[in-house]
Amino acid sequence: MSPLSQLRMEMRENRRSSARGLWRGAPRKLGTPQFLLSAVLLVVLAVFVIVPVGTIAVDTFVWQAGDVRLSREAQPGALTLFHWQRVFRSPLTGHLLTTPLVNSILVGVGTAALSLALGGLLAWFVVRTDMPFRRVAGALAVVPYMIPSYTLALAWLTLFKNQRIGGTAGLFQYLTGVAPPDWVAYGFFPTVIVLALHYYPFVFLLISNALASVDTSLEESAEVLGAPRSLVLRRITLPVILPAVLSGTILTFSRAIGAFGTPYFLGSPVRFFTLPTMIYSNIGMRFPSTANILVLVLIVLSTILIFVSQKMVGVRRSFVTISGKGFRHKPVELGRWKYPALAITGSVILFAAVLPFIMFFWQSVMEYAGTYSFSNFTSAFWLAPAGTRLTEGEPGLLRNPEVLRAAWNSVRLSATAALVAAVLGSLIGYVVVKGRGTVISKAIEQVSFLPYLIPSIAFGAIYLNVFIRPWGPIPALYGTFLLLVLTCAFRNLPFAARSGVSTMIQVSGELEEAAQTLGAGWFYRFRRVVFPLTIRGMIVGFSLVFMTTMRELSLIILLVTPQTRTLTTMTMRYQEQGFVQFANAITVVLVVMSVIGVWAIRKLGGQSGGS
Amino acid sequence: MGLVDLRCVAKAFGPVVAVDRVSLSIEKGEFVALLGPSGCGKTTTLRMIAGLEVPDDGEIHLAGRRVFSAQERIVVPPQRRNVGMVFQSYALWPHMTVFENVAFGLRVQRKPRSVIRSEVRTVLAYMQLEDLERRYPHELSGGQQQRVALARMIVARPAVFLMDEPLSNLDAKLRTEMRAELKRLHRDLTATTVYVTHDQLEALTLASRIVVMKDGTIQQDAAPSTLYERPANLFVAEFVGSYPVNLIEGRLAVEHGRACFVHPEVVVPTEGPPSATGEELMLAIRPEDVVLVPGEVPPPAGEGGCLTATVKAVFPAGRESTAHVDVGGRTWTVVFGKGIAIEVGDRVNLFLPSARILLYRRDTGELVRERSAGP
Repeated sequence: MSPLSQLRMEMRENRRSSARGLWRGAPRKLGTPQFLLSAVLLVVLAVFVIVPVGTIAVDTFVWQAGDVRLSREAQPGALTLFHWQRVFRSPLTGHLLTTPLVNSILVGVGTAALSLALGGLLAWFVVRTDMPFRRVAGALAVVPYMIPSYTLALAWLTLFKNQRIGGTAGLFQYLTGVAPPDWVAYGFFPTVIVLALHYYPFVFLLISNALASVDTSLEESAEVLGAPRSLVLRRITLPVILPAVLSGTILTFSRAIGAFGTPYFLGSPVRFFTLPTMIYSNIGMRFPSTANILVLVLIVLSTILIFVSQKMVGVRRSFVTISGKGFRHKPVELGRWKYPALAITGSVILFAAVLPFIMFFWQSVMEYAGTYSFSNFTSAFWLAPAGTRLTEGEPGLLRNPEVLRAAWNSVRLSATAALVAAVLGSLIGYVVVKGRGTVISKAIEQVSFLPYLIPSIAFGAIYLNVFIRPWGPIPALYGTFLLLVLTCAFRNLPFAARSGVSTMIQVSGELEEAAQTLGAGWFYRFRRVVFPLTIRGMIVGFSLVFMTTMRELSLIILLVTPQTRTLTTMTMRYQEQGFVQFANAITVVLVVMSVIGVWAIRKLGGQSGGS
Repeated sequence: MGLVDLRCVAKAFGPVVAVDRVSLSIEKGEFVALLGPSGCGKTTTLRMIAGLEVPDDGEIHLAGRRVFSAQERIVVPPQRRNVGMVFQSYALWPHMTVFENVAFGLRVQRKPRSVIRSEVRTVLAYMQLEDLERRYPHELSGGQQQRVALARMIVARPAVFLMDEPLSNLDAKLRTEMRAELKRLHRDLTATTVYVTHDQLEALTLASRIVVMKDGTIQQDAAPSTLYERPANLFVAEFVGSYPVNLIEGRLAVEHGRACFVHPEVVVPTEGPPSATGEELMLAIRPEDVVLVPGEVPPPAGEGGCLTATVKAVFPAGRESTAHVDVGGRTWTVVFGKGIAIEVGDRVNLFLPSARILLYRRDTGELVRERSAGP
């Protein structure tokens, strides 16, 4: 019998007709793995996102145990409006709320404006002009975002600090002998500059993408019709890139008002408070309810911003002509402005990325901080054994078990948080895409986006508030490594979930259905089809969260304990104690680790997607 | 009971009713095409047979087994239905080689390695893919991908082949080739096939039976020739045919003791006994049935009606040219042979043989008088 006729024979008899696959009774959808998974995810999201936010809101209306210090009327557990009155209508309102709020908004506006100017200009230079070294500049322009923003603040201090906060003066004073005035060294001005140097890559990326995807034939057809170049810019180019400009600006604004590290390092010396630093200070002074109310204010503020941006951008997006193909642009000839443009671009990158790193390293090998001469060189802060007098007994960085533990903690925390977020993000992507249109899918998508609205420091405060005591079956998590993992994982979940959803959308549902019709059960299909096809997206989600967590300060600053200290929080401790060399040395380590991390992840991601 | 049996199956997506109480029975060995415009519910019907969509109502039987029943809350998931499916996108797994793609179904069934190897090889050879087993899908041409998708389906030996517009992603030449391939497949394997398409040519050439759908309901379920010769309603008449069908409104009236279709410009006697007069009708006639009569030549013998029309456009195409002519404000297509030369603006006579006209009620669109199978 030929194989073919055998095939035919076997085809005629229906070989798999057992009825084991029937399930009767229960509502039809409830038994499917997809539904069960959705339900589990929804519960997880409720516990780690909705409940913490809800709890913090409710707690502000309740007398807390520590409130007996504030008021004689305090009865722990009873309802009260006291905290809200204290923040909104009391002699303290100005100090607690109004001034930090105004400062935050000013910092936000300043940062957004400066980022827009820097990012927009660089984007135009790189995408649309004949500036030399455009490609290299484009690659380097995003580097500042990869190093933690507060390290830039430290670099600023190294350069410009005066003797106001004690210790030695910065490089500027060393070189010129002139002490920089306070407004240059501390407070609003440097905060804005530092934040803008850190966040302009957002704007740069968004605008350069928009510029690159604008169909130049739109502009060319206007030029053919005789429109002068200024009119083309105003009527064609600008409207088309406006969504990118808007969303870049608003994103930068909302990031800036939520930033903690930079305003903390630069603002504290002159008591310049923004909402995040005021939250930190109130938690430090054990006024959790005041901090919680400020957290809510911050959340409301950034929620409004994000919705406004979505409304504005959403309406305007319809104008954008984005198509998959790249357009060949005729570059604008800069002529004699070629080199000035290169100088501007170069100096932004130099000041935002290269110089700080050199400064840190230099600072970390100085025997006496602030003396920039070769005779002042020491390797003590890196290599000295414990008990060295110069370092006040602290061993050099590379011999310090605490630093090594912090480094290990940083890596361990970033890796586990990234893993949790990436796995959750992928599963969320799966149920959201598979269940498109159902209520539960929409709920999961919305809730997983929620942490995006909550600035880091606020998110840390929320988790501190909930997990400092036992909650239901969950024991008190404060002080545990697990709490840090959960915080970083759920704060970054929106990014991981976005990446999960977009990956899953690219994997057509038919690919899984094909496996289904061939007899594969859910676990088999997930393992053999869905997982291999989405692993690359998971790696993207993982690396996003990993890199963010590596440089995370504001999110975990409220939650770390000496055992769970990371490199970032250690920098802060040394900075506070005046061990500038140590702080700088750790920053060098951190930046190097970040760069290696980015490189390793790229390498890994590139390989796994081989076929 | 057929091998595939749908009874009153319905499915809505939100407010949109995709499939509206469809009943359909498919016998073993049939090649049934579900034909209709996009959004008519044909793909949803196919996916419900596969189990990829869960119907809201009705019952589905596959090979004598009840795989879905709304009343008794029975839902057999796709993986336990023993159906094979070819998707429009082929849905080949990009991370697996051709061999792995094809072997998947057998691996799921936990067959021994050696068996998998030999069965996959047999099918690959049958589909002329033996040299490509180590390739990845993106390294294959569209036609080869299509073959792999078919191989993957047949190697698992399903009771029914389900195909969702499998040829729509191929270019015209490959499509013709693959049509022949599918015919060979069906003949060799005598596999019961349900084939979804919006391309009537595909349906007419491949299927032994065509089910025309529109708005979630079955419009006509018939053999290809019947479908073409006697469309059950105006929708089918307009949907099926390589040229648009020619239409003209009129009434039924008795003239000279015979039932006739009456329009101000033409009177066509109908065959068969006179029925109710005064009925509002739509006359339909296929372009190739309209006889174009150049001025001097007398109209052909036989019963029928004659009318005069103005030529609006001519599309010469060798043996069989077409022209658009204006009939009572409607544009008709007529087909004519080499010997006839006409130009735009000419007045031409059209002869409508009684045996070739189709009459539909204008209110319901239903066929009122079937034309007899003409010569």
